[in-house]
Amino acid sequence: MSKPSDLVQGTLDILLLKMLALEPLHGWAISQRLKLVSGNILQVSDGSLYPALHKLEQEGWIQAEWKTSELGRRAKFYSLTRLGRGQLAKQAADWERLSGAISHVMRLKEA
Amino acid sequence: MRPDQWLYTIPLRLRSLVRSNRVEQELDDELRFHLEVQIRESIARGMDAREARRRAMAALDGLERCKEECRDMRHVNVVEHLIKDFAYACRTLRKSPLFALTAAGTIALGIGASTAIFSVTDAVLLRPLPYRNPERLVLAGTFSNADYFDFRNGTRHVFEDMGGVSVSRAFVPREDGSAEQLSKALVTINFFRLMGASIALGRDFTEADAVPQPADPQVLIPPGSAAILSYEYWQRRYGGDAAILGREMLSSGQRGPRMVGVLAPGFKLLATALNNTGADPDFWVANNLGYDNQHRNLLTAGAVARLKAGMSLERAQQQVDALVATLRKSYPTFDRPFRLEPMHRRMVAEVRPALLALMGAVMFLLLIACANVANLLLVRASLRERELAVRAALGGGRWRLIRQMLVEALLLAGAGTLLGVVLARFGIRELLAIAPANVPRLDSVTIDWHVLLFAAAAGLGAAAIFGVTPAWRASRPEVAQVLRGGRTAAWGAGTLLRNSVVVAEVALSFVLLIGSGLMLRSFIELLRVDPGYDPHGVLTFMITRQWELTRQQGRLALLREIQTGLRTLPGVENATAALALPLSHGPSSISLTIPRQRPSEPGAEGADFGQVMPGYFETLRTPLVAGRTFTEEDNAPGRRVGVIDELLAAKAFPGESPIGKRIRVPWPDIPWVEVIGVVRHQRAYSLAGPGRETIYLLDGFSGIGVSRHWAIRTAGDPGKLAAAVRAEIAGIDKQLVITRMQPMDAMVDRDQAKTRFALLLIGTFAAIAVVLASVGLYGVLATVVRQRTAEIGVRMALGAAPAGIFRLVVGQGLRLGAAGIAIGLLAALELTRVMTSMLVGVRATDPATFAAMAVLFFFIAAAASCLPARRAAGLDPTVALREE
Repeated sequence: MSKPSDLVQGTLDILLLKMLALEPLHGWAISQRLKLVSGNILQVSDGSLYPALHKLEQEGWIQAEWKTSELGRRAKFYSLTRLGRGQLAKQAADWERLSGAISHVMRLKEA
Repeated sequence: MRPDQWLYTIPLRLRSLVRSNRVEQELDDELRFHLEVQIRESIARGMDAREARRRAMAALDGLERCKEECRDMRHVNVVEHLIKDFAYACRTLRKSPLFALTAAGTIALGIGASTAIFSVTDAVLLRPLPYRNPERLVLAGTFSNADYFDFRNGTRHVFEDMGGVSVSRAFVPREDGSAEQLSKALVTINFFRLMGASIALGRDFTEADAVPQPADPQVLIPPGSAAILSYEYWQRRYGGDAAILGREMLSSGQRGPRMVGVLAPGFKLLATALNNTGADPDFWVANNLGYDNQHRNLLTAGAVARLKAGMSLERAQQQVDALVATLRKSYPTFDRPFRLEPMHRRMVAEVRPALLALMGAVMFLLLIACANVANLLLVRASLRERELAVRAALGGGRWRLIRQMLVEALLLAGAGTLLGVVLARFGIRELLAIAPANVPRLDSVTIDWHVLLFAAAAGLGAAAIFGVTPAWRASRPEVAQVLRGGRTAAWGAGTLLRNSVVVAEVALSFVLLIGSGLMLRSFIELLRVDPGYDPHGVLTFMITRQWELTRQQGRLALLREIQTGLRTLPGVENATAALALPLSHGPSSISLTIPRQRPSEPGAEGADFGQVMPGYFETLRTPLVAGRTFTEEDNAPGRRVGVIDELLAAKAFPGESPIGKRIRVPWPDIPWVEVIGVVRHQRAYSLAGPGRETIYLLDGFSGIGVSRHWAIRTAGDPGKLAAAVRAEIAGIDKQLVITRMQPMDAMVDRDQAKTRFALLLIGTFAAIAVVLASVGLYGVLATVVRQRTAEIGVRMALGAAPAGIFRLVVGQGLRLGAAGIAIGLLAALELTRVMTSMLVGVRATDPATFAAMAVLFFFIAAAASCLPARRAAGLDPTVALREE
């Protein structure tokens, strides 16, 4: 299994949702963006990207549409649904709270 | 999941399922697009084409794997795999139709039998009575008119209300002068409100309708009475004509009861204890139970009471007990206990133990059927060991293998259940045809959703039982060993499992065999029992006539005339009549007081009493033990003589002659009778039980003739006398009605019906069970022989004699059989106790039956072992050795 074990559970979901919130993208483009934005820190393999996309689609958070890509071939474009937008807001808030809490703990002075 | 989410997800999932090809294609396109773009990109960055392709594939963790994970995400796989498993199971079962048929057929047998018995159990024991809040209805025995008032007033804070009902036959004339025999119920006016019966037409009874009704059913309904018809009778007799309301029913010689209402369809008096006609009342007459302190012990009505909401039976009983205690102080002869009993429990009291025992037996049968199929599956699994091992080695997941075996079991169980329900339909028809008459509500036995639910649950349960063991077993084949080409060890886990299953099967069927053995013993006992009379060559019938209250005096003379007339018929040896004949319906009981030497002993004794005409004991051939029987001269008012049976003689006059002794009887004007004779005890209720002590008084004892049940003895066929009897009776009085004409043998036959029924059913179940168990035993041994063919070959090559091989296999079969029998014996010792009430003259733990059945089963086990043993002994060593 090539599950991104170094990714906090659910982090990939929030990344994907955020990315698709900006504009509809097809799988390869998402994969490129992921590599770009997260660099080597968040290693997301293509092998776990697609199952994650299918899962989000299944949950009803993103929807897919076949459109002609910039490369002139038909590709499957994903976009955020209304539900997905809500989910993103909720997860983002959760993330803020969690990371805030952890940062707070980390900033504590050692005695 | 939120509802609005379903908007997105449901179409998606449906699409994945229904248009799976399209979805697959899209998945493929999507990933291929990714690969192509990725490869093109890499090549553009100067990578070697093959390397670019390899890397792109690697990044996806392999195309197929990635697809599989995507599919998993879509949750399609679960359903898809299940469908695949079903298809696979169908294919494998089709490949071995004999196995599939045997397995499904065995299950069908078990489910069919248990469903049929369950449908009866459901209708009789489980379904609530069709009254308002039926769980609060209780029966409180029988009471006299005075009791009714005392009890109704004394229990107002435990019972909502209390009513009385008694059912008898009535003869209502038709317009053309012939008489119609009907079932008549006398009820207190609150009865229908008490039961929650609804009136479909007209009105319920009111205070004004209540007219005192004669306790003697042969006396005409007095003028001014009101009647409510049953819906069925209203339809049958009046064609549903609403105009009859307010009219009077026909009555001979006087005005009949006025019809005031019609009940809603289907209202029945189900608690049969209240009903001695066995038929549903055709019309109901309002009775006024006047407060009558004179006849404190003249029982007139069955009491029905409704507990107040939340009132427990125990508290109500305490209240009644307290009331009985006060009544006893005021009326010393008052001795009725008044046991409250829920109506439903009372209704099924007689049949409940037998039905539960049958249900138990049939569940055993189902378990045995499951065990047999489990064994078949295990044998099959052992034959498929190689296939399963290969699949396991190729990475077929363990769960997948288990699932496949379970699906196969489910498929078999499903087919078996469907077939079983069909079998149950026929089974129920047969069951109802032979069911004894004492089972209530048989007419409501059907295959309804309760029964179907039971069948489905039984099917699922069966699948779980016979599916899990083989599945567990199949999931862990010893891969390495099997693939190396060797067989698994002969006594490996699989064999142990199979052996345990067979032992369980033998044990279960042995319990059933013992049950049927006990029933057989009971039935033989029933055939052999001396009932105290000789039913062969006796024709019985009822002669009734409706009497006006003022013409009662003629009854005694008419009965004498009938007796003389019947005695003169050619072929008739003797003729007699009685208030009740043995087995006709239960005799009445009275309380007696026997004078004691020691006053400390309680003097009151309960006993049955019969009122008979002279010639009664002679006609029924009841042997005289001491003294003399009744003569014609005895049969007159004022002659205080009685005959007692040997049970009463032994109880009341131990160690001395009862002849000439006096017994106190509860008639206001006749304080005592003198014992003139002792006769053999008659089994009056049933041949199955000894019944109670009995005292016989004469028909004319209380002044009017009361005998209704006639018996004539002939040397020939009693049925042939019927026409002559009818002609003779018609010649005496046109108003006499003959009913229930039948040879006494038929009454005996009906009495034996419940024992025969139980014997037939348990016997059939046991026979099937034994066959299944022997097939199971045979199957296990045959498999062992097949698996050990090579070993047997080696033994033979080394000089083992065929006889030795034969003994080896038979010995194994007998060991399994013996283990099963031993376990079965222990189980039966406990379980047959539930049959106690069904047994006649034999204890539930009868050692002879247990021993005989153990020996019988041992022989059956030996026979089942012989076939595979013969095959093993007949093996040709050279062929056997080449087997592997």
